Amino acid sequence: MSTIRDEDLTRLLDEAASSYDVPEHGPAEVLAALADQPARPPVVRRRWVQLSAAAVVITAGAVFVATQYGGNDAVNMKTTTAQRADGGADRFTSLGGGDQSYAPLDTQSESVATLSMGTAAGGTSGTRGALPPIAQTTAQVPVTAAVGAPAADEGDSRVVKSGSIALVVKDKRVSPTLTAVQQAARAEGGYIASSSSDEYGETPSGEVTIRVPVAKFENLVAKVRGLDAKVRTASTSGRDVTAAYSDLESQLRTLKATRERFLLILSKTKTISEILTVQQRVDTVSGQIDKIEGQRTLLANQSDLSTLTVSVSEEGDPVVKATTKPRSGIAEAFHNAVDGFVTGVEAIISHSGRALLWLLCLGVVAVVMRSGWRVARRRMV
Amino acid sequence: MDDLDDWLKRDYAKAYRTACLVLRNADDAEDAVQEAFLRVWRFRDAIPDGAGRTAWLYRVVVNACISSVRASASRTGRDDGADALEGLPDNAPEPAVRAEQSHLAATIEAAMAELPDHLRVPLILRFYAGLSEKEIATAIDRRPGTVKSRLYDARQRLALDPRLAAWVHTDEVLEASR
Repeated sequence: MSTIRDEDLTRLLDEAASSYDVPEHGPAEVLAALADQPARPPVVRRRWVQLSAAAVVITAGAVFVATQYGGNDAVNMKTTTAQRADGGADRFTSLGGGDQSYAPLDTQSESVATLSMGTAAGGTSGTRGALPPIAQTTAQVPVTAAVGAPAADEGDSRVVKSGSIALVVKDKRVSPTLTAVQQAARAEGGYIASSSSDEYGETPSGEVTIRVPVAKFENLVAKVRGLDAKVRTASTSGRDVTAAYSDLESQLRTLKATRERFLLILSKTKTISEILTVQQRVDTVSGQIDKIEGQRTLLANQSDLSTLTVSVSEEGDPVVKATTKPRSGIAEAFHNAVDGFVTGVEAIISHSGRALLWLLCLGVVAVVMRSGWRVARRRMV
Repeated sequence: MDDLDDWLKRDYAKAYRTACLVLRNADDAEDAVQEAFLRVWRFRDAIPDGAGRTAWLYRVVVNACISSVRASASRTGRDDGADALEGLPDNAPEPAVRAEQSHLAATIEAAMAELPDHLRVPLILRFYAGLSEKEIATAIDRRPGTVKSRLYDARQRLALDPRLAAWVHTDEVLEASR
């Protein structure tokens, strides 16, 4: 086999290459072109610096996670209070998640909140507005609300508030009460998100959902409770989303900076494959930005406007009766007996069709067997 | 690479002539090498230290040559496909330029022009730029085995070129010379 030696190839190529004169101005033009380019800070490549930076980032992340999810449920606040329409003896308050931590909606940034577990001391007890304002409560419960909110002062805090109130009114008072609720909402700068009413039949009822600025939520609740109606049930909840909102904003800033860098790189790419690759990255980052912006907008909307649902029903409403009329022990036993009897009769009736079918089948089988037996006995004889 | 000036003084000529051999056009080679050095400087922090630096430089040079080819192809409406090394233009030196070259240089250039580009580029990097097979693999983004195969094919094809017959030796002669 024939071939060319390495040294000959090297010599031949050197010869071919030497036929091209190296431009003396070449390096100078490179330097000149470089001078025309915008300065770019060099990236530190020292390994120990990179490791230190990584350690700092990991530590900061760990601290953030620990403060964010460190077993503190105080940022999730929920108060549910139910009260009988006829006087309010059976009142209970449930704390969000069963945790002892609790924060009133309007004092969440304080370190100590007060909570009433008994009868209200204020003047709102009784048949109307029996629930005391949350801020007027008396039991001392330590609170660590908003611990996880990074660098968010009082003015920057964002809380998603919502609540529902069920009112019971006298006959023919459903519609005026709903109107009064809507007027109160508008007076507080809110608007009616939805409303519905059932005015057919003997027990009309209605419901209205209100969006009101967070700052006016408590005022609206107080106004609704002050209407000429009994409060059957009431619940309010608040969720501090300051940390989540700040997190979304920081993610947005980072992604936008990333996209800017990719766009800068895109403007300097030369090959089609580079362009496609960078463009794909840009598209991916843009999609992430859109998604997070949507989440942030939703969170901002939820934390800007609170939601209050007010339902109104008459005293004669079967639902109201069923949930508000207490029974004594004997009445409860009698009621259970009646229920049991009715249930038994219903069960017999419901199963009678199937039982009848079985009886018919058995009768047919018996007739057939008896006929067969007679024929067989006659032949044997 | 702390000083681009030193880098240029040391490697510009070699890189420029490598680009000339690849592109066979001095003007395009000058542009490509300038672009290559600018890219090198732009991403200087990502350049590995040590022996990998040379391979990295020639990878950038080869990529700049490919970019140059694609740019000229797009200007002429030609698509070179995914592997631009397969489609370097046949822009052999003009006759006037060729006349100025030495006879030997013209001969080897003519013979090299007959080689397909995916064989010619590794050959140039190996026997002119002095890269190892591993470094060439890095430079053209192919596996070392592919580089070895291409170098073998290139040498075989050059050995069959009658213009280079004077440099062709049989295996027996090679063995004897060793």
